[in-house]
Amino acid sequence: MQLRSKIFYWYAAFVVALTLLTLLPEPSQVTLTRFHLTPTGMRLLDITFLIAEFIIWFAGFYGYNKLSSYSRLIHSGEEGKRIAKLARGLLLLSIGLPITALLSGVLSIIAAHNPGFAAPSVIINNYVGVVFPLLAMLWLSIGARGLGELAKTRLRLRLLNVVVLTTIVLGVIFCCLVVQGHRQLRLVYHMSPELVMLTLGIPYMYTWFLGLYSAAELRTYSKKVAGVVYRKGWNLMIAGVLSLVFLSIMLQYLSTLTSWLASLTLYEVLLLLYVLLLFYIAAFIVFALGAKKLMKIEEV
Amino acid sequence: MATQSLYDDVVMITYDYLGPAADRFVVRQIRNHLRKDPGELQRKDLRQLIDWIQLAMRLISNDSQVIDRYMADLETLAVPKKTTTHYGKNARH
Repeated sequence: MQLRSKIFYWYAAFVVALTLLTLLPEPSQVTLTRFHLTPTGMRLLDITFLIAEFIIWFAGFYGYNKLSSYSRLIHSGEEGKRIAKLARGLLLLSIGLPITALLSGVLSIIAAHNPGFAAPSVIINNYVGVVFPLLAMLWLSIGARGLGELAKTRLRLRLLNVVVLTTIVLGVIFCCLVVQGHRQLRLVYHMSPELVMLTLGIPYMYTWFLGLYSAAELRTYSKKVAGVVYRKGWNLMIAGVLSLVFLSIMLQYLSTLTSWLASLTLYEVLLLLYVLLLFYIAAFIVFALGAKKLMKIEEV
Repeated sequence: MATQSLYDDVVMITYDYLGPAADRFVVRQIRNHLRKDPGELQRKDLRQLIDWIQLAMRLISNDSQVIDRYMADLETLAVPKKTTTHYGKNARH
């Protein structure tokens, strides 16, 4: 209960901070001209994005809260410690969203007043953007492996091949897309292509591998573990993890398609963003529902 | 060789439905509703325990087929086990 309050106080603080950071500074003239918007229209758009973003954060914190409560309920059991690690992963994933958004807001305000800071702000943003998902997936994979060890399961070679091959295919396409925008690379990342590949490409690919591997481990666990009703909760959580991994991949892909994004109209950009936001909300909610289902077993 | 208690039998059946949560679930039902320690569970308590478990399962799952199968499995424990001779035939008393 105390932890729940703490988490929700943090949530409220993040909401207030991002609202102020977004709505207090004057809208960027470049964006207004690019999309032919009035300052009021821009503000209205900002508000719709803020609401969607707050719903995503809430869904993430809610999912973490449910999984964390579940792990505390069964702390005496062997799987409690492993599930606590999964919960820690989800916390990092959830808390990474507001921290990244807030940091991005602060850095863009600094860059607006100090044009020389534009490049460093982009670089810092990019690295912070990769750190949270990486740590989150690392914890998720540790928790998932722990559960696998408990149930004495091992990933089947075929499934492991699928995970590795998917990561390689997605990674190579990602690198190709980064290289394709080679001319714009310095404008987008403010770094050399080699540095982008080594310090951003590799961590992202590793993050995707860990995410897919965690989902595969959890899938193997849920197939092996006994309990028809128990397994249903796990299946929902696996669907949530898998969706979050694919959304993270999709977001990174989109970041490489800057010239294509720039060619879209305002309505197309909005449609794309809203669809992504909706998927994010759905993924966290599916995860939370799975945790809630498991928790129900321990409550009645 | 230690004989299996009635409580162990209930947990064993529950394991097929609730997996690793089975033991905790059964202990909770016995302690909260029958006000007994799991080791003190007797055959005469079984009817009441099955009713409580059924109620709890309806809160956990909407799958009535699974719940009915679980209850049917538990009902088999309500029937006293026939003792067998070392020849494997049912002993008559």
